[in-house]
Amino acid sequence: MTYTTYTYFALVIGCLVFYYILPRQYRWFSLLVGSCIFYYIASGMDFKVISLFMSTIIFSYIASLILEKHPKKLILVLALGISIFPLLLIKGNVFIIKRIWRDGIPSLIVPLGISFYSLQIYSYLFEVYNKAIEPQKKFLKYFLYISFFPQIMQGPIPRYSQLGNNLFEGHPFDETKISKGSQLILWGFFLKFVIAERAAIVVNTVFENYEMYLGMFVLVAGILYSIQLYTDFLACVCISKGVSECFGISLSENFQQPYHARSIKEFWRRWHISLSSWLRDYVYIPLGGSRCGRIRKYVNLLITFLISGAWHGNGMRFIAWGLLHAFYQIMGAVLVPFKMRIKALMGIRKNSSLEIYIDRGITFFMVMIAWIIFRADSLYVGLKMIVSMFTVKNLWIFWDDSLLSLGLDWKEWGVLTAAILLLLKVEKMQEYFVIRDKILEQPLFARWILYLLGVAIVIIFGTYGFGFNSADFIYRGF
Amino acid sequence: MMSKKFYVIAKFTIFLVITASLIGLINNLFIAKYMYDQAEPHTETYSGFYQMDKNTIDVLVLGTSHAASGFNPQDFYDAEQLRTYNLSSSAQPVWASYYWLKEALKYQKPSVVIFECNYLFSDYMSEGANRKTLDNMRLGKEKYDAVMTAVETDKQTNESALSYFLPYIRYHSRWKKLNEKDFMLGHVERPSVLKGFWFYPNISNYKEFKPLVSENVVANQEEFEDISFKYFEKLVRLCEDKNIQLIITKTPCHLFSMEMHNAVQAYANEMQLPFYDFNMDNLYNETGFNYELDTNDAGLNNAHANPSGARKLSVFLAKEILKNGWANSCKDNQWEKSREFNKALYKDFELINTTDINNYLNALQDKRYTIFISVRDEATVGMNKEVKSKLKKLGLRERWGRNALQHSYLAVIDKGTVVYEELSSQKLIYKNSFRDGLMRIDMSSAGFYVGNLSSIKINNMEESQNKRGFNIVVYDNNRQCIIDSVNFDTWNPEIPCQR
Repeated sequence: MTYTTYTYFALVIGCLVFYYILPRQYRWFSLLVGSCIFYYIASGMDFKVISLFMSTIIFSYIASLILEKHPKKLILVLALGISIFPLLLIKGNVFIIKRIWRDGIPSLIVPLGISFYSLQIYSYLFEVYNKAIEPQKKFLKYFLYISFFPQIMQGPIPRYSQLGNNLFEGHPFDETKISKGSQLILWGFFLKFVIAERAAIVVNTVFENYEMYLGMFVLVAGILYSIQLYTDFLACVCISKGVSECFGISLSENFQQPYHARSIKEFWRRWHISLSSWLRDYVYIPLGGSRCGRIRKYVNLLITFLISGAWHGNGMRFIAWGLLHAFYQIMGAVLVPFKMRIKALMGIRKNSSLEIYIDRGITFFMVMIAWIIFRADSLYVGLKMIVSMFTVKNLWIFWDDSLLSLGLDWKEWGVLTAAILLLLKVEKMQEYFVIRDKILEQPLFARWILYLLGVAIVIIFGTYGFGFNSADFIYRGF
Repeated sequence: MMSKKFYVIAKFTIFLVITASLIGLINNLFIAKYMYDQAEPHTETYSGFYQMDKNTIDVLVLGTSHAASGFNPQDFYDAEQLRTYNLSSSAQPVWASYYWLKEALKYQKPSVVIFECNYLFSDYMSEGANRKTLDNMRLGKEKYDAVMTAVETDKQTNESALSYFLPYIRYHSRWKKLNEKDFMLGHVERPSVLKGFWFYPNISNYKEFKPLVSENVVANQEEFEDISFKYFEKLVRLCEDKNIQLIITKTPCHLFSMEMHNAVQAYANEMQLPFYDFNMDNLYNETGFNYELDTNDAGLNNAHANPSGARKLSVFLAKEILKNGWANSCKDNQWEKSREFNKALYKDFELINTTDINNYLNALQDKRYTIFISVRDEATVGMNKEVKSKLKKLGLRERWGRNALQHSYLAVIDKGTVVYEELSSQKLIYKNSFRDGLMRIDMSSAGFYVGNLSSIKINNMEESQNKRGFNIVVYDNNRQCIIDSVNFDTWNPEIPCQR
């Protein structure tokens, strides 16, 4: 069961009905039962997976209670270590286990959402230790906090101070919230099926046949992969947030138009915000952050992004991807005076539209280069593809119909282009106002027409069904 | 407070109903449609079935394409006034025949079921064929059971059962191919004129077929395919329960072996069921079937009767049914009304298979047709008086004298009226639309010295043979489709025909 299946929405509707039927103080039971059912089905009813998940929750629950009474560093380190040990084992298996078990890596149990709930538990224990929060005494409520089904698979990674009470307080029925939540869900479906899955056809064709498609094909695939990854992840977050809002629960923002960033530093303030802020609060700042001099700051950045890379997956390409982003940031800081001088020489005024677009363009290009390494089969292949962008001269593919050999005919390209333009327009509008509020201000008739149009567009122009396996989100794999 | 709650619930319900209607509309728009302009009109067969008056069908045919093209219900009716309907479909699995029989019994009370046993030995499975047979079945227990069986037996595509109930899941990517027929939204709002018959218009000219000889019966029996046989037995029991006479049959097919015949015959004997195997020499000869001329195709996998063959098999079976008292004759307007349509089909069959220009021009004298003529290169040297006179009979004025040598020529005859005719030493172009603008025509003709080409584009699709002499495209306004594109080389005195 994933967030785009009919079964999932049947579960959501069932939980919603029970949620609003139950007295307010018991409404969280509906979420708890929903989360249990979701995890049970989504984990393939695998007893081992469920057991590992349950034992992590039970252990961290007990650890939090001990930490409250005995806030000792040793206990914290032990509790954190044991809680995130399964994650470390999974993420580190290529580098460590391969050396231990030379005859082959034993198959590991990978609980659903482990990358997300492990970080959630980590921050929870850390906050309890720091006395920033009081631990949840009721086990079932704690269980719900960790396993809350609309967000367990792909985040956003919540903080207890922000989500905890929100989950348990029992929200009254609010038509506006349900409308806004439904809008987000619909937008999520649009992003996933109309953009991400369509872009994936081209991306997969190029990346899976990289010997055949070099040069400008890599540029096209790189741009589309940047869009695919963003829309795929954003889609999942929209659906998670939308479903949560239907229950009256607000999840934190995870994206803020990341490709509008004017620098890599800004990009990381806008991309996967919950992970970035987690890394900032629990890795970068504890390492000393930027308080211990420039060199130390750069080292801290390298460590933080190394961890970020390792979190995203096994393999050198993820490590390289993380380090490349650290390198971008370091170079970004080092080259500030140089950049300013160049801009001054070219007569580009500060904060002019031209400067903004140039900055955004350069940032997007750098991010895209890193995504190519991220998506490629290996670091070597990724580098080879990137080099080919500058060495293989095949500019004519943009007008000799070569692009039509990548799995999309001209009509599909038209839909993809139109959908991306719509996304850009929406992101532009989001800078000035909350679109969902604006929609709610419209007369009922206009709103319904808009919703029905959205449903029709997703149904007709979505890339799903026969010949496609588009149910999974990319970030679920991390 | 109560009224606010009521308002919210009412609003929510109305929105859900509208959304469901929208999804229903999208389902109907995108579902693949096979109407009578196509050789395999599944939509017409099944949607049209539901439009038949209740309890008016006496004979029901089930099976694969062999049955669909082999038994023409109109011929059953015209021969013996047997009210027959053919519910066969492309590669119809036996389980689908069973569920269609169950579904049909909700609306009809047939006395006879004819089952064509082509697939009793086959485990062939095609998701496409499953869709064709199930897409237009109404929602209900039968559809649910059939879909579940389809999903269970489909080891190739892993298609979900839900996609059979919400066909947009399967068909939404057809947005790129939507055409005029799609906007009929899958509705056939009248009793089917074909009543399940498939019009396969060609002649196979297959000469290798040898009927199975009754005297050479061998003891060996082919084994039935497990799942097919399981559902066949269910079908047999269902017929027994409903007091329906089941007739097993096999249309002439060079792929059907003596071992297969023996297996079916043994089962038929055991169950005391009649088995009409038209591959056996006695029945083959009795029907007058001529495999060379009465089949549409005869390849490695296919062997379908054409309308000529279907008529022979249908008339024979109709007489057998009546002779044995398995069903009674009954006059019915639903078959009376479709007689002309079917007669026209047989006329089309003759037209499509005519290679003689005089016969062809004779056959073109039919107000159903819109005829497009475009000359390429040269069209006068081989033209004789007879041909000129036949062209004149069509209403064309050109005399085809010496002045026409190597000239361009275009003509359009719409439902018996010449709407355009021109001969010129220059290249000719004609653009127009028919059927209230739904059929766009773009024609050109160029004689030997001015371009040497012929083009007849209908809705932007090239239909002309683009060969020397007369290039003719015939559009049937009844079925709303092009039925023939032919070239007669009237430069050559023998006037050869090419398709």
